[in-house]
Amino acid sequence: MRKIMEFMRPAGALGKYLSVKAVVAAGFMLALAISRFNLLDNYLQLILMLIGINLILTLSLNLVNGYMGEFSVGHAGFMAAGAYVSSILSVKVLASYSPLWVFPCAVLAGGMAAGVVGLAVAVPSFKTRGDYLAIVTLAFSMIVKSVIENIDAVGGPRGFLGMDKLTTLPWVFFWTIATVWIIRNFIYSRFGRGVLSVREDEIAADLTGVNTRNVKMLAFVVSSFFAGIAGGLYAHLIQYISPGVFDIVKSTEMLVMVYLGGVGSIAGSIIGAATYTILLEALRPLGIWRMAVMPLLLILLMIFRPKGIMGYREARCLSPSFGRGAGKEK
Amino acid sequence: MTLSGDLKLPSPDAGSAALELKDVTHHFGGLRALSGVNFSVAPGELAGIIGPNGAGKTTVFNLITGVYTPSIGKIIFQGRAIEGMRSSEITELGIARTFQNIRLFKELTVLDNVRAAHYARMKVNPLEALFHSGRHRSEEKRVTEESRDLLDRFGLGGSAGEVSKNLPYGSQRRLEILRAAATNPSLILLDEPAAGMHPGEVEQLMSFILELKKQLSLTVLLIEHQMRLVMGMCSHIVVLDFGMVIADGGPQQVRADAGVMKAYMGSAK
Repeated sequence: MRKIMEFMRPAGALGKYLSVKAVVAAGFMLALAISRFNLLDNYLQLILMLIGINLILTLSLNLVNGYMGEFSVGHAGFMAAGAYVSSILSVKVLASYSPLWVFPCAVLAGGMAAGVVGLAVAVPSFKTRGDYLAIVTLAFSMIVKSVIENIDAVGGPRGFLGMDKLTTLPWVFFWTIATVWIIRNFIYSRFGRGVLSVREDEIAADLTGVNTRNVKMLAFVVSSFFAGIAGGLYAHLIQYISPGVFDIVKSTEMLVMVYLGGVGSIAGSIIGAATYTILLEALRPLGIWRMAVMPLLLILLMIFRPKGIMGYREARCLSPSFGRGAGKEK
Repeated sequence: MTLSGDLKLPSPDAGSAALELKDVTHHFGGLRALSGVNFSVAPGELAGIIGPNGAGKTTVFNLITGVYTPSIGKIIFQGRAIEGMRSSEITELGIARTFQNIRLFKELTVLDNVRAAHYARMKVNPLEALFHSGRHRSEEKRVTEESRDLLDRFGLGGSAGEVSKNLPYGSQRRLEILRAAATNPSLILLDEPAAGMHPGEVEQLMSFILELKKQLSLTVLLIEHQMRLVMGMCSHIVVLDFGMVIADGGPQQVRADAGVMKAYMGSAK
């Protein structure tokens, strides 16, 4: 019986793997069709793209706050790094090349720049054990803001514009799927288990051979990389960025999405990003009160569901047992 | 107790001890927790540390595993001085441990607790993991199989998929020992493995530890309060009191020692 199970396993896994691939391919085609033939009106397309960008941000922050159990409150700073670097590249450096190449390169470069900045933040923050990260990231995001405000070449406090609207639905779809895939791979790897063990008990993790410092820095760099990617996509969607966009409110928004959807869960991040983005639009009639509703939501959430809707749980199609047959047997 | 060490120069393989503490002294601020502790554990031995509360037993473990660095003294593991190294490096060299109060990765499954302990022995780099390379997949598969095998062999295979905090107390103890064993150690340190267990469970635990030691050919050093377990299992016992070694030898020898009697029972007069 066991032999048969062993034999069946790869076939079943392959079938499921293909079906996930098929869904993703169909989704991409749909996104392509929507943007090519304008199947949805521009407003709805904009919302869909914002959901995707917010999803990337949520996953990025969830890696640090949810999976690793540290607390970053300055992710808008990494987003800013990605947004500015990619915009400068696409407007000033690569402008003469075909946008088909410029855009992915610029976004990727933005992500990498944010990753490097993330490393610079991670090295001092993780030198010792403890909760310094919240303070360091808070200070960091303020530094980023005031540095940009004082560089006149990128517009200073007036902001930076001139980017073409290169962010389209297929691109957002591509980057979103790539983010989900890569972060999922990370979590279900030796490093991901290292990150989780740091959250659960850092001393015990060290004493089971996990190089906790390296693992934490790696997770932080991956996280800031994706925040930078989201920044690049955002900049080429809105076509205007300013230091004010990437302030503490933006970081708080990310926190709300993480804690709404659920810490330590990809499915939760998807739910959180989608719900938040849609709610924010749906509540537009409330005018200025809209911004009061959101913090209220966060407070209620913390009281009634402190780990979020999906806290620590994962949708079956995103957990490794789905594709690899490595899950429960009994 | 042993003077033989003075006769020859220490060289990597000379000592023949798996672990040796030389004149280890440790202060917490003004408090001297350990003073001049000397003892060694031979390869393949099952040794025990006993002593009254506050004698410094867990401090010895924390010093060996790099949680603290000794104020003075040397800790030699397989001919190598390990004091001052990072805990994870020491674990990588082959010393694993458990804790007095269980420290599992509570929200992770039983299987993932064991798989996490393979970290240091896995080879894939971050990029391979991020992009799900073939090498990453085959290593994951191998580690998963090894972990399942370990759990199966020692009676936790049935709960591999359970979240570890939901296990009964005795199983949590055993899982913690198995997690330590999964780091592929040659020396395992168990800090009060039988704490909070009733006599029947202690019996099971003893055979569990002996079986693990035999199958993985481990050297074991344990801290324990339950005399029956220590006297019944350990061939070598170190008695600590007020941070000093007051006796070191076989169970009979230790039992007969007047100093030990005094530390535990008070003096006759």
